[in-house]
Amino acid sequence: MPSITQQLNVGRGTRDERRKLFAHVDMNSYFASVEQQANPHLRGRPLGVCAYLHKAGCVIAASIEAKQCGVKVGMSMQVAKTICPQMKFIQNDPAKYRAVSSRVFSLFHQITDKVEHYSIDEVFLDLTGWYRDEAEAAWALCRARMRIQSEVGEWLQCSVGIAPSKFLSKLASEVQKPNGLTIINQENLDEMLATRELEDACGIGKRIRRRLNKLGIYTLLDLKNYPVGNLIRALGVAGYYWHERLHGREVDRFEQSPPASDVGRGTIVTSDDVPKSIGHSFCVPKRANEQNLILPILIRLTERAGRRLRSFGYYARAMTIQASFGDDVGRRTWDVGRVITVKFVDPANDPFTLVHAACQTLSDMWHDEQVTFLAITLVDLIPPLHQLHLPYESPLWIKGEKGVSKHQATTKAIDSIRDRHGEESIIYASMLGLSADYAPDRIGFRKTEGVDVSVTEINK
Amino acid sequence: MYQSVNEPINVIMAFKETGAEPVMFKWGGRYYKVDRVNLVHTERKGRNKMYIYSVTDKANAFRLRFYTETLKWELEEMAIL
Repeated sequence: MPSITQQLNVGRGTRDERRKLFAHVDMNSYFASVEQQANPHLRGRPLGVCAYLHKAGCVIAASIEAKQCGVKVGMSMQVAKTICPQMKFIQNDPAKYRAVSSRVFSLFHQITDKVEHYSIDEVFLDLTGWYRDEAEAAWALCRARMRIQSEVGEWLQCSVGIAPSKFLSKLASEVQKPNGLTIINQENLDEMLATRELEDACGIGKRIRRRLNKLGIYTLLDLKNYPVGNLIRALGVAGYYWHERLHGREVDRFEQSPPASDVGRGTIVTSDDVPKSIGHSFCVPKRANEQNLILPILIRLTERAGRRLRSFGYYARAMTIQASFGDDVGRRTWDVGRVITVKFVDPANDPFTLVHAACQTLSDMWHDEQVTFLAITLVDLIPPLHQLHLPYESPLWIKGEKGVSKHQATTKAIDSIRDRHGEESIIYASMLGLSADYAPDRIGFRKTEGVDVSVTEINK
Repeated sequence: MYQSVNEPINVIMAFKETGAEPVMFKWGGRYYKVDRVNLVHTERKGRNKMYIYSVTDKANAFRLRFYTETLKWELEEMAIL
């Protein structure tokens, strides 16, 4: 029989958990819906938003109509066209999606003070203390959804999930798509979990699913009811977290995203603390090889990665260059081609060191074959060390400012020029004439950089 | 689908309570009446802020770009279906 203290703790815990209230909002077919919002002639038709308008180009977002035809995100344009011959394709426009996200997120900042921008089209809200129960929260979120449609665009739809934890709220938002609203609470938790497969849960992939299947676990309800001790033995500490999550207890960190007034240049606006790596990649078309544009493209990718690195105020200790050649095209790019990692003597973030290292590395691996894929990744990121190097006088330093190298000072000046006049206002001479079609702007997975919430919109 | 135009245009604007919207524009000697403003978003090039209006008339969709630094309008793209 549990002691009085244990009973009190259990009771207190239960009341606290009941008070916790989270919501997850997922914009449905986001990129495609924004394009359909901008051009009404595309509405009601199957539409695919692609990274490149090429038959091998990948569909990164499909409209609700295209999904109903069987088109899935990740298919090539050629396959999507075979499945749905009447499908239209359009190239993505990251600036537009970021701008629309900013306006949508600003509406959510009026519902609660704790908002996590999870990705360009997903947001977590901590509603604890703001609404008495799920019904009141649902009413507020329905109003927010109506405001999105009246103030941003009537074609934008979102699925909402409300639950006592972040994990369950995300699971709830997946239940009814598009434009659904699902509430999970202690009363219907088992019923909801029984209908969901293991891979429906965020964080369970094929490998973990196979491991769980070996334990006789096939649904999320099985996982919830599995003894926690055995789960910890099988999965380690992750087993404990899964047990807690499925019992509706909050164990995930809530990363509050600040509104724009708090976001200065260099402030991290993603929900991650610091990225583990910063990289850019590009599938190189044949015509770029014919026009000898490989090095300019690599420089553009490196410059962009370097600029992002500096915006975080970090330095890279190493750089990885990946390139695929000739026949590698069409195969999976992450397991073919050549990969070389170079380590810097001193951590670097200035364009001179980064570009020089990138070009040198590529020349080591490239023997004038046709390049089909290029990627640069800055890894092993660290904050500035402020370590002075011997000798104290160096020709590379600025006179009178010990420790400030000419590279650092020039980089600062270059960044100021770019802040004022645009990213390509000052470039390497070899990049002159390089079309904007090569290595254009992209929105990475779970990236929300550039999505700022305007205070004026909040105050409306 | 979309065709790049990138030509300067003359625009008549309406300043409403909800914000400023283009009402009509002149391009290539022809007037186009804006039936609907479907989406307004902003882009930045350095400190220069640009407003992009995605508008439609009865037959076409257009992207109009307003440069806040130079106060000039441009027809950026049009889509004919």
